[in-house]
Amino acid sequence: MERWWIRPVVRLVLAVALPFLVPLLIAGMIWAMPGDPATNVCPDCTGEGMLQMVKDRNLDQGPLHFYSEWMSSMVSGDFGRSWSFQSGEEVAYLLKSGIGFTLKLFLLGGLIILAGAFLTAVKWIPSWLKSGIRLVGMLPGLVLSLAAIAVYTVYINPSAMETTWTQVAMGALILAIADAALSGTIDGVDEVIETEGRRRYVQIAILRGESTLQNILPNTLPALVGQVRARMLSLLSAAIIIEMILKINGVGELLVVGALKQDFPLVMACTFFYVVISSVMLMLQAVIEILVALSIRKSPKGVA
Amino acid sequence: MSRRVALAVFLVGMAILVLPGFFAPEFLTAKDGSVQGALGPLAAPPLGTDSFGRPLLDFVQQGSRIVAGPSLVAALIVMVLGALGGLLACTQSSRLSTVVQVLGETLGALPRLVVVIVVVRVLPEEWRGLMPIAVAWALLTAPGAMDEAASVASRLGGSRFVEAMRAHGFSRRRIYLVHILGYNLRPVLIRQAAETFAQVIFLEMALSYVSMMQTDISELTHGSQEEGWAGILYDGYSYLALNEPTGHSLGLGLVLVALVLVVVRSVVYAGRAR
Amino acid sequence: MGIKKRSLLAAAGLSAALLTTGQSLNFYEEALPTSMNPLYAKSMVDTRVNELVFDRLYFHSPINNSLVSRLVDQWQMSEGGRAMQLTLKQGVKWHDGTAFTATDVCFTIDAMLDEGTPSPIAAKQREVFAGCEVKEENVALVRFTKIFHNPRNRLGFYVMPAHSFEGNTAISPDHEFSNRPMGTGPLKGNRGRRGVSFNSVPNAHHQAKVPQMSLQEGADPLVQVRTLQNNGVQGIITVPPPYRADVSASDELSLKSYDLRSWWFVAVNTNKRHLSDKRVRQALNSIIDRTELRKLSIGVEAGEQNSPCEFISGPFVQTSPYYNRAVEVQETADLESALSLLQAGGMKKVGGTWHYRGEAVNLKIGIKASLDVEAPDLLSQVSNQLGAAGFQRQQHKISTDEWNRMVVTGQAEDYDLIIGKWSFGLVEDVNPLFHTRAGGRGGLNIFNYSSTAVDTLLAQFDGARTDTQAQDAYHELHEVLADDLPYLFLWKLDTKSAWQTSVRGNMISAYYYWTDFDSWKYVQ
Repeated sequence: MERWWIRPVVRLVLAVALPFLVPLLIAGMIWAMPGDPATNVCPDCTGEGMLQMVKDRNLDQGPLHFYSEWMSSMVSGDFGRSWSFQSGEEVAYLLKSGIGFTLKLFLLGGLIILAGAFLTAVKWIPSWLKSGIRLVGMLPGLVLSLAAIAVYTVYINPSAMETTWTQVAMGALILAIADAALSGTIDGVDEVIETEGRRRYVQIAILRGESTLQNILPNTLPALVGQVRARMLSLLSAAIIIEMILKINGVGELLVVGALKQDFPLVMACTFFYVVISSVMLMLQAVIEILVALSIRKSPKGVA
Repeated sequence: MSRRVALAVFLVGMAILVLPGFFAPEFLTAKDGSVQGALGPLAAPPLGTDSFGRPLLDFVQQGSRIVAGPSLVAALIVMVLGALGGLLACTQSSRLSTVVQVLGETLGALPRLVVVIVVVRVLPEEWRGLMPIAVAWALLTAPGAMDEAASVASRLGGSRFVEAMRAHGFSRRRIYLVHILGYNLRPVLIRQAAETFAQVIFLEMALSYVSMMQTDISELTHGSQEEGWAGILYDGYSYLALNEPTGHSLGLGLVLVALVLVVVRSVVYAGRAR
Repeated sequence: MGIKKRSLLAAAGLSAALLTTGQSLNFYEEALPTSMNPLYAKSMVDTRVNELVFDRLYFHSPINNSLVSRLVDQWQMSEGGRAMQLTLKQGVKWHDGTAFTATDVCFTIDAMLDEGTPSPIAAKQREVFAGCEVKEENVALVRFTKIFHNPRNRLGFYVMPAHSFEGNTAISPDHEFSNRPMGTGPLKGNRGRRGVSFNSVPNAHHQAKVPQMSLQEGADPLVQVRTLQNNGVQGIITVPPPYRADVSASDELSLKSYDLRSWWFVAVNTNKRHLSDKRVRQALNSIIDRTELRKLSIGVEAGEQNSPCEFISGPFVQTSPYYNRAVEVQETADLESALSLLQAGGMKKVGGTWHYRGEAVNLKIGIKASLDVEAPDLLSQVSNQLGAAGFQRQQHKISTDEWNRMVVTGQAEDYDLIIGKWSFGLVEDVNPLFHTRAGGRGGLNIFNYSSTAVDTLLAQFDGARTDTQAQDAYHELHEVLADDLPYLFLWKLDTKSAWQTSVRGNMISAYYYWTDFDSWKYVQ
């Protein structure tokens, strides 16, 4: 008997473990970097104050201590304070200020892709539009972002310190279209439906007057969900570059700047945010797979 | 378009992308405040100059040297691991498959760019460059390729396909190398490798561009004496936003992007199943 | 009709100008501040921001250079010159409305003296201050470690509020004060993701006429200049020389001098085997063609009148009283002399490349990345000149973060040469740059250079009781350094700001920039 449950269970376990594992890896990396982490944080500092600061930053007892302290504070919503990007600012505050923009960007981009997937499934997208989307989708996000920021700079808001909805909307559109995100989804959904639609049980269902989608959905749902998750994960990554170029005050930009400035509380928090999103998607996929598998196995005898 | 034409397009495209790197100057021509910049290809052949009077040909050559090796290595890693994933699906070793599945799921669940950024930061200065980034990217991309290859192999029948072919008198080596890899997995592996190749090039351009946007950070993917293709786009951006006479830079940057895309499409076309 | 329309427009313009007087003034800074806590200031940006938010106890007036204070009403020496009693002005308030008192002055001194404050700035002040005592609500007695020649000069520190730290004198850089500081200065500052927003706070000693300001991080200088021309921002703190002509050509913009007393250098790693011989360093000094560098990097031709760039032969700008004019400047290359010096220093040229003890010399050259904006591609130009002379080399840009973490702290030993810039106020104290790194001295000694002769001269400067003694010590130091060459001294480069002409009364003070901010007006 095929062990269908292995993958979903692996996904569930990973979804739970990743948010704990990734910060541990980063904590280990702080110590793997050249030099002593304690002196790296303030090389020109001396005396008792330096020792106290090292202690306050939990850098005095190795990576495991650093990790466990970070985890226990994080549970109560305290991500520590920024070391170098905005010295003294609460990381939770910075994260909170960025999450909104990143989620808007991600969800809006994701929504466009999901809409694309749905419209493809119900065959509402004409072939000329698909060709157009494929053509634009070949361009990398960098090129489209450059064009967008140029237009934004020249015509809209040359010196904004705050992120506007226009920036987010431009970013989401680029996120959805560039790097073949939308066209890949459309082609993927098309392929799955085409392949499955050619099967005998679907042909019989059509003869019985039932809809194609209704019949193929239970069998194709896990594959489709897997595709969508992979696509969403790519979006999450691509959003980092788009945030940087379009100057959107999101978590991705915080992560890049935090990494460049060795602001590890900030890096840990931003990475944690991304890993949690990834875990949620992983968990959703696992649950859907399990539900579909159970429902297929519970089908009345004699029904294929 | 026939497969031969596609193959020819791919080879020519690759030659244009990779060969200039062999002739790249070690050091980019320095900026010179006393010469006129932003000259077009006619005024300063063959490709014109940037805003500071540096020949764009230097950028093309150095960019080629920066990306060629790492992007090809990344493509190779994805291809090899993808093939491994496909072949594993044809064996009966369920324990090994489970281990690979767990590893694949773990790597596949990590947002790639987040990992790349952490890798960039953690590496000691002497190791920094595109190669470790490309390898990290390839390792994170590989689970997807392995999955896809495995599903193609499963559709083929997996271990039952191997048994059936054995019954026809084919050797195991021939079945795995010719029938599974050569005939069935080839299109998937070539596509995945080609996409990774392009992704690494675009990733380099994006990371270089980001480091150029910040005035107080060092380059992330290459040495300070080099400038990649992102430098061409950066120069071209001032045409878009500031109406500076650097339209030819923008055009050249877009041509390079298009060339990468053409190479990818042609190799995918050439490698498709008969 | 036309006239009527024009009059209407003029009237509308006038009312708009009146209504918009005091609108938010936006400007580009070189970077975002690293910390807004004065004890942790690391860059010139930090110093300039501190000048807007805080008050120094004493400062030099930008108008007549006299030593004045906005916080102190009267002062008198006591305890035989080892202490000073300060009577503070009445009515001065912190940005939250709390009264400024002697407790705050003593708190700031106590915080600097507290070993629990890991600030390098505080560490330096521990050599000056012995303690502070609150005599009355507005009277503080400041004690010094010794009798100083002009003790009020030592009181140029920013005063911080005791209540923001609840009296805890061990101040950490991670305290939220670093991000949302509170001072008695003309503006209250609040750091955001992409800049700092400032709001004026009326006070007994400050009446800022610009109610709001916003500091934005400037990146590409061309973008900065174009945004200024389009009135997207009203000012740029530093305009690189190649873009100054563009700014000057506009009637709406004015270029303003900013006296920063900054000079550029190439620090030489004297601890590297192949650079430890003085003759090799002198050879490098002869290889560098400063006139060519200046032309290529800054765009200044030889003999150009009113050049923004002036060569130097030692660690001071030419207008400084410490500059020793007897030491000649090496303006152009002298390759013949370089050749003989290199050979005398143990180098051999094999196949066109210099070798030391059988190994090819590969010079690792770095530059502080942000300097590339002011002198475009200086790194490549220096590298090219060394390459043409027969040295293999590698080029690296050093981020501000790495500069603060590795270079300034003497941990960039793997570099051979580092290009940088130091900026000074009125007191050009170069002791931290050249003193042997030990016992809290030599805090900015990039390559841990050590010379007994130099240390002795620096001690002479430290112990000087008169200006003449100080000058004598530094004149001799200039001569010794120009010979020993731990740095190849390049030039002083004028710093210019650009402001819209709608910004009036904008006097720019030396080094601190915003000292006279109360006179600034913005009339759109």
